[in-house]
Amino acid sequence: MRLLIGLVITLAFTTGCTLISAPEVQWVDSTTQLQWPAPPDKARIIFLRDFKGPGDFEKTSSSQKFLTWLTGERDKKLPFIAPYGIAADGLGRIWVADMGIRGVHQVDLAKGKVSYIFSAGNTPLTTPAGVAVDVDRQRLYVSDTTLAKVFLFDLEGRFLKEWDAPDNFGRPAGLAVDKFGQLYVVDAIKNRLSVFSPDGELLRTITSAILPELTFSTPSNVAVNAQGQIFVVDSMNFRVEFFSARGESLGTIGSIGDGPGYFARPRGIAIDGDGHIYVADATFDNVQVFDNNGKLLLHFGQPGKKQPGEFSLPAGMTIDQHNRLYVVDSFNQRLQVFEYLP
Amino acid sequence: MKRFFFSIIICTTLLWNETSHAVGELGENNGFNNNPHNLSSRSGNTKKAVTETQICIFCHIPHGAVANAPLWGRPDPTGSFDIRAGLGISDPGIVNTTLYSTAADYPNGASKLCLSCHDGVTAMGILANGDELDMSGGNALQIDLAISHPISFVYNSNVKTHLGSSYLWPTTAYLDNNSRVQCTICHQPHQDTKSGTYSLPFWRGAGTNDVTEYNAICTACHTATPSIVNEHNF
Repeated sequence: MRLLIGLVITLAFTTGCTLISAPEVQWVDSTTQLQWPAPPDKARIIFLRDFKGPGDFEKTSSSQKFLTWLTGERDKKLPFIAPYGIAADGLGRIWVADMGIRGVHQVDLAKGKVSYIFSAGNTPLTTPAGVAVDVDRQRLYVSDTTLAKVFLFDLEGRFLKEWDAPDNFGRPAGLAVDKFGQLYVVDAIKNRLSVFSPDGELLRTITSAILPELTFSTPSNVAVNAQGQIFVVDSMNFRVEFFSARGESLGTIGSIGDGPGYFARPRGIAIDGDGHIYVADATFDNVQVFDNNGKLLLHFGQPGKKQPGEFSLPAGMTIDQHNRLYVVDSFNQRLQVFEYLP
Repeated sequence: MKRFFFSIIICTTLLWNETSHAVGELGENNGFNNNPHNLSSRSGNTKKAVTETQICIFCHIPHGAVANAPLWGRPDPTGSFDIRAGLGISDPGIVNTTLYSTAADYPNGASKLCLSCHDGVTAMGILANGDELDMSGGNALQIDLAISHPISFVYNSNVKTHLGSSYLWPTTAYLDNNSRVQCTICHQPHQDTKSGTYSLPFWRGAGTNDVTEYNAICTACHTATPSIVNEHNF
């Protein structure tokens, strides 16, 4: 009966309907105004909004509601359970790797849709950790720490290819892609960074050049700036080490300690349009911002449950071309989005 | 005579220290041991630092020595960040703050320290797999404690009433100083207990019989040995 009524209404609807333009992405939560440093200082970072799950991503248009009513079904949507890595194209598409759902949330804010990647071909994802997007080549890379592989998908989530190091990955974690489409893979067990050409050829392997260790210690994440300089979060050496595009070590940022400018559990890393370096710390529950010389510019965020700017074990981060900083607030099971004001 | 007396004291102390060290204790042999949580260069494991000899710093973050004022904005108080999970969690001066109240963030206490590494990237083995705990401690207990082994909640009379008769109230020794269930209710992170036929990792109260000692921990809270084992639900 429903179907019959639906069919009649649909016919009437389609004949008289005009095309509705794509809705704008709602980037700002106008009810919350937060800035760092606090007023009256010039705002450098502002809070935009947070995303707690499918309810915040999806736009339920009247036609969708109608379809739901018609079929009596809704797609199964999943909350964030244990999110870690994040990638964004700046136009409203966001990818979040989530070990809790054993998959990747694919969010399209402009379309108000969310879908999921659960497998690479016939291989179910087990612990997806890192994600990176190459918009120019329409590619999405996902690392899986237990399967010890990096998987390549198109931006519709279709599996294309499996990547591995010639001598195999140990535990591939954080990923980054530079403007040439080169892929950077952090290996948390083999303590190295592998750089691949877009074709999958291993170009170089990088590890720490800092005495006395001369090796990374459980590195977790990586970011590349506009000049091609590479920043590796060397978690258990409690610092960020940065390299030239050719892999020469240029220095470090931070060391172990509990004060501003120090690190306890450095995790996510991102770089804004002016080359500032953002590092999330899972023990401090904050984000620290450094300049290219490693000088501390700002720290923002504090431990907390749900308020904007409060974090519980922040994980992956990324910054899009509009200087929007996305922070995976893992144990608060949400994303928070901030903006850097140049 | 005096010398003899002192020798006895010193020997007794040494012997006592020796016998009080169970196998796999993190600090034994000046740090030369195979405890998986020993990430220093003295560790016998493959996953370890190359030169760092200090064993504690990987979990218990030392204070930063040099004040570092952020350049953006006016001079900020350059005190330390709040790492209440990282240092002296049994110190009342730390735990009896509003930050460690029933409204504290989740996870909290010692568990936060565990989960900051056991995130599936830095260390494997523990994954979040469930809904957030409501820690209001009030009647609005929205979490499903039936799933498995939640953490960071205050095990108070409201929780006990909600759970019903098949659960017991463990002795306070099993809870942290704020009466919370943490990872430490089952695990003792300084004590590597899994070796040979002993199957339980970092087990609180481990001795020589893993079956008995497993049940001893289970039955502190459960009236019957549960059918589901090895479940972590945070």
